[in-house]
Amino acid sequence: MFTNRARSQWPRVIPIILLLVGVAAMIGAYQLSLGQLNQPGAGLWPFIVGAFLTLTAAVLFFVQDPSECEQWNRRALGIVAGLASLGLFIVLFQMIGFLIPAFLMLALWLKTFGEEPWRLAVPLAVAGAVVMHFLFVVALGVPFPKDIVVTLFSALGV
Amino acid sequence: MNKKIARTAGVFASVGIMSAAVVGCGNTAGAQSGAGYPSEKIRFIIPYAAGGPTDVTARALAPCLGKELGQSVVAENVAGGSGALGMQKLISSKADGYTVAIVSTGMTVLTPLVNGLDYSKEDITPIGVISHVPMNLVVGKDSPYKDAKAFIAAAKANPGKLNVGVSGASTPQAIELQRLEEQYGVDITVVPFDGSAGATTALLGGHADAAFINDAPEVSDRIEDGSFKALAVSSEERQKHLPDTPTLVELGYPDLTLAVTTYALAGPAGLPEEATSKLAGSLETCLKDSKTVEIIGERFVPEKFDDAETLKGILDEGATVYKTMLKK
Amino acid sequence: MDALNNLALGFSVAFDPMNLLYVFIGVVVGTAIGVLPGLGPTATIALLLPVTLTLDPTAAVILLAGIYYGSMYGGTITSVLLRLPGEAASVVTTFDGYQMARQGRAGPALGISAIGSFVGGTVSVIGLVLLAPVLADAALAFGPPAFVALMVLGLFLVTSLGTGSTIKALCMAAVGLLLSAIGQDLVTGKPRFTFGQTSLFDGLDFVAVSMGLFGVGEILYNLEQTEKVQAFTSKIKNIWPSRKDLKDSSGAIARGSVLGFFIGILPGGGGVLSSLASYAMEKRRAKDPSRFGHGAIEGVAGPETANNASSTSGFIPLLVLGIPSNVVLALLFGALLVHGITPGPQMMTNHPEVFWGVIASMFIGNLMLLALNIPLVGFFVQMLRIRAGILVTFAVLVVMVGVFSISNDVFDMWVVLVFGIIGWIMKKTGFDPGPLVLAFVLGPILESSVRQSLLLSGGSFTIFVTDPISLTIFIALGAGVILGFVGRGRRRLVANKQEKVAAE
Repeated sequence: MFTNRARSQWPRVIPIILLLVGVAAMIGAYQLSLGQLNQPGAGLWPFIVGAFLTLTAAVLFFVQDPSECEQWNRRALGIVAGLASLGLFIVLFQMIGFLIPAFLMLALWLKTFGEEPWRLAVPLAVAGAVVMHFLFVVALGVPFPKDIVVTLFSALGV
Repeated sequence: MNKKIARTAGVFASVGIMSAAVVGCGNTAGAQSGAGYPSEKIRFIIPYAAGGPTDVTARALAPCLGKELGQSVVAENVAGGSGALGMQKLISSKADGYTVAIVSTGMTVLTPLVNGLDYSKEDITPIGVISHVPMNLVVGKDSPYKDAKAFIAAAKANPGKLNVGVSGASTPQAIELQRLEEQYGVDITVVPFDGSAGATTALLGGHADAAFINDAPEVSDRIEDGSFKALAVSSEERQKHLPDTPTLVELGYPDLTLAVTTYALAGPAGLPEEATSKLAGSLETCLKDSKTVEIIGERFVPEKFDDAETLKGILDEGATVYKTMLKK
Repeated sequence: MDALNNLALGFSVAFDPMNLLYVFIGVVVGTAIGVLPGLGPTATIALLLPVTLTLDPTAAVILLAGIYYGSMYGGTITSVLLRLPGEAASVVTTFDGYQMARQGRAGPALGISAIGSFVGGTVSVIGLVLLAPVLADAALAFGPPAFVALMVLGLFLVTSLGTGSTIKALCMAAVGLLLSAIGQDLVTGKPRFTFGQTSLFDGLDFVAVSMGLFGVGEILYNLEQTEKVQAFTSKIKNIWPSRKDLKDSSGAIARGSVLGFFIGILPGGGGVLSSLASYAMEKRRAKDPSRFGHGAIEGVAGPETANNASSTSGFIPLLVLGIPSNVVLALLFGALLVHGITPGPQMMTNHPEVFWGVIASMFIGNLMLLALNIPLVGFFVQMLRIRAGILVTFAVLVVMVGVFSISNDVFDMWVVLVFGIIGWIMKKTGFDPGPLVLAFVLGPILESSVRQSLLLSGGSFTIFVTDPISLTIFIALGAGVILGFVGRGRRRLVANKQEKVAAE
């Protein structure tokens, strides 16, 4: 990906992906049955849209101006790590509730992307997690997954 | 900089407090009060979004149920997948009587069949019927069809030419109209709209010839003021407020009685006997509470309580019919 | 005069101290909710609906309506500051609003939105009082074929948005249409492209998709380019719209009010269309359309005004016909039903105090919002002084939690994440998410109207010609396209010349 040739060519991948999505949608739609005009099937509309996408993607492949695209750099790897942390947040949120994953996510992002020192990141993360817990769970009554911290506190009788 | 952070935190906090002031505290956990069921708060799942007829019925019932059971009954909307998400949530919860749901024939029987989901009516414990909401076949006030006979005759004379709006595809009422075509040769075109409101709009605007929709208050209001004319009702007996409107049964379609939305209370399969009978008892009492009944709709609540057995019968009948219909 | 008597009754209800308090709470909560990305009016009203059961019906509806139009004000703030549109109508605001913020003109953008929203809301309330019954009936003439025409028009308008090339916009619109086909088919009930996921049966959620593509995508992109984040926060030029800003946008506000009012009456989906139409109209009228997408104040003023006007006139079908034209109004419909009041033709005679009380409360509510928002503009602009890293981190978490609360489903969080990645890549490759998101909103209405039309006509396309409204719109559209080609050709010539000059 970081070779010179790939650099100038990588934006071409986008129309190809879109084209493939369009073709896949047409195949999927065909399997859903197209029906007739007076009795349109479930697949008719997605088929038309899929064809439209395939067509526009094909045109795009030839007319696209690669200079509109930006290159990949090392910082993109950091973004990928950030995304992974968000994925982890969702998984943990489902398993152990909001407070701990929220604190971890906030602390990590504040430290790495915000480049804040730990002495600021940690208190902010604690405060943020607690305030949002109160806002969403207590005030708005959003049913978050069971929170182990809350369970622990209520078990201790706090 | 710290000051600014504090300020942002302030925004969040004040939003929280403001909202809290409005909401009050709905989530106070029920105190442990002695032994026996129920000893803590009960979760009441509503498988449709807030504001719809399912929600209105459930919300009307919840406070009374809570009073009868001596524990708070906390309603929770789990909307999505034509009721499937809420049903799955109910089925996957512990069968201890602390999670119940408002269910309908549509979401219990029809939704899993149409969408190929792996749950069925066997996965729930029926508790009792809350209400039966029939459908009305209505036309606009300027319609050339004075009664059901004229409408059906016109449909037979011009197969596929008459359009009937319904509140959505794969609803019991849409299937009922399909049966009208397949079993009795009355060929009408069923046009699904976005909810009863969509079908009503189309009828008012003259875009559809008739609508087959819930006998909700907004529809009966229109029948009362003359902007709609009721041709037929889908219940087995005539409706008290429409004494001159025949039923589909009377019109010669004896088995077209499934286009009635039955709302019922249910728990996950294998509910303990104690919980089931206690819930059924409270439900029966609540359906005599005038305030609750007024909101649900007096004419929808059965005069005699329909217990779990009756409910099971309704679900079984629906399952049989829908299975044969959908195989085609 | 009858209307005046009724209005007097309405104001006597609305000025009841308790009702005044509920208007106030409503607009404050609405604004606050609008500011929290991800938590839109739909989720909030759904969450608060049960609480209002204990209030008397007038108070309940006043409160909920306040939250609704209050959130329309609030939603603008995140669209301008962080490019996080919480509802479809504010997607259009991000185009020029966010660009204005980047140029240090967040204050004027927010100020003009507040003023425009106030004017639009007020004009709409006046229209509601005077014209409601007449217009409600007229709106019914819009059947499925007319909606097809309207949606096609909407899609054409979509491609005129943004700054990217037309082919890219078309391509993205196709993707949006395809994404909107996910979920249960309206007509046959068959699940489409759901891959066995129950969460997909109702399709992807708009808020999750738009938050991902716009907000999270933008955040990721900015994180990748650190320098830009810093530059963005340091300069805030002025907080209030200048006299020139006001002068530039007064026409847009006037046109937006009228446009929004009329589009809002249509049963089913006025909001997006009104802001889109207003944006397209302003861009078309402008002497130099190339400013649009680069921070043109009319591109914020017009759509914001139209959006608010249409959200107010959306009450006409609800209150007069008993037809809720969007999800939020459907919730209000339910709220009224729970209180034993049936919205519809008989509401005006059976419950005049509720009907006119709610309308009068909207007057007061709009005034309160203006008074509330003008000082808040300064406050929110200050938010941009917070270090980007902190702001962004909190925004991401609030978005995540906010989308969860839409239907209490973790699935929506994954949707945000996936669309965040897509949005980031789109930004890198010069694609605009606007056409995608708006096509996503218009798609289902277009599809169901097409299919309903074909069912109604027995499979014949002549219905689009025999329906007078649809015919009119299609003719206008055809004329517009032809004129547009001519105009564009001319403009391109001019632009090419200018570029050459600039290059030298």
